[in-house]
Amino acid sequence: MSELGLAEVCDLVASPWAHEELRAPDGTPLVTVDVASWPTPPAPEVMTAAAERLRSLPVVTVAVIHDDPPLAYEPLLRAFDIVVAPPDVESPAAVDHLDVAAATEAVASAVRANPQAAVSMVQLSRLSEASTVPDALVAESLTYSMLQAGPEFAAWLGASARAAADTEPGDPVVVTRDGSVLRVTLDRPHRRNAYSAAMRDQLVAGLRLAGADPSIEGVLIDGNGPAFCAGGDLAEFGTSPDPSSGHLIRTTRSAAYWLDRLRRNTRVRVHGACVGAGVELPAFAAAIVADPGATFRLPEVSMGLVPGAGGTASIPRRIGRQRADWLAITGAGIDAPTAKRWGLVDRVEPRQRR
Amino acid sequence: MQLRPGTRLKSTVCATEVIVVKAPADEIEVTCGGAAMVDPPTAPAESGTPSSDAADGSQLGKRYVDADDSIELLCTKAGDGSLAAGGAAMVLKESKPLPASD
Repeated sequence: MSELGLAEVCDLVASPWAHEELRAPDGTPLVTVDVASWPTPPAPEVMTAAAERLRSLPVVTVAVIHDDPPLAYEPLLRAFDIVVAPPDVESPAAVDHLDVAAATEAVASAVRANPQAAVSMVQLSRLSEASTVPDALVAESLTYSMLQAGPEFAAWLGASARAAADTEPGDPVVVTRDGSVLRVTLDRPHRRNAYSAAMRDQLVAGLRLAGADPSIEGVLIDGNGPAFCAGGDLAEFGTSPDPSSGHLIRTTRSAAYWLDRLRRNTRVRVHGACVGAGVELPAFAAAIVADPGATFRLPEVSMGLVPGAGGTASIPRRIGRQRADWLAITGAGIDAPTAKRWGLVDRVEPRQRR
Repeated sequence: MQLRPGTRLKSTVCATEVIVVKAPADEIEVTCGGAAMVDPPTAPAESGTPSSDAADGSQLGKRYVDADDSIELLCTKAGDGSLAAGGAAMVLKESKPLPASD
């Protein structure tokens, strides 16, 4: 039952036992449908019912397509969590990959490695799609906290060697004002601007200033050093007081919330590694300019978590739920041209050194 | 001067500008660098310098309060003068650092 046809899937998801029994033969919560051909579409009400049921399953659903999908199939195709296709297929939802089999296996091995995080990830994305951004941020934080208490994150914590948190001089964020423009620079170059609690606090303070002062008409965010932001500060993982306190902290002091509020006036300049928060936060801005060498990656599911800096709200709103789920589940990195093609960034332009 | 939340004030002796976050019910004089702050559109060109006992500066994006927390200002442009309300120096109101949530 690992690779199904499209007609079969409509029948199988209609089963009252689908939630429990529709999964890969080894028990992995994964359904892969290989669409070798496009048969005459089922009646619209059959397709709608199948799409609805598919979105309710506690499994990661993957459609592999090999040619352009007929329009009639869009509702069903849109219900999948991930769509994989060769590069010549025209589908805004599809991850275009030179090696479709390898791409499909990348999803499968990621789901096998962290099934709880992977399923939670796609369920969160489905829920977030129909939510406002502030609501989606709350849902993300709840999911993140739930997974913080789970065995997959515990296993990652136990296996990873992490640097001890260091006390460091100076401010992790530099906020300056030039007329009506507020410039916010991440400034922990020695840690590739790892997103620490102190950086979060100062970033939020800067964004709140922009939120409080209507004479600030533009916010410009960039990063100092070799990378815009290499993600959450690994030295701080596992240091949250407890999962439920973590949720209250995230929703009390949320850079994502303020970036969304200020999105129309916010421009971000990214370069180097943009990992986790380093891509989640920029994705809220109305304009992102990426250096040609910038790379983008979401490693959280491989750590037994989901992105927690707002990325499950911001990234799908730029590139669509299916491509966002691909990035989150596989942890695959993409380069600046791919990010541009998918709409994750708006322009690719060499960074001017200041 | 009667203040309201959102009222803007500008220093006459340095670059400091603030927005009122919380206003007292009664009139109060706000000074920066020892000189009364004014409505920005009517502000004269900066002249003079902050008096030496009020020259610790103001910091961009920081909030300042008086001792009994009746007035709160947000600094929207930094300057060399320090803020006072009703003749008493205002103090920096720092947001409490919160732990990591990871």
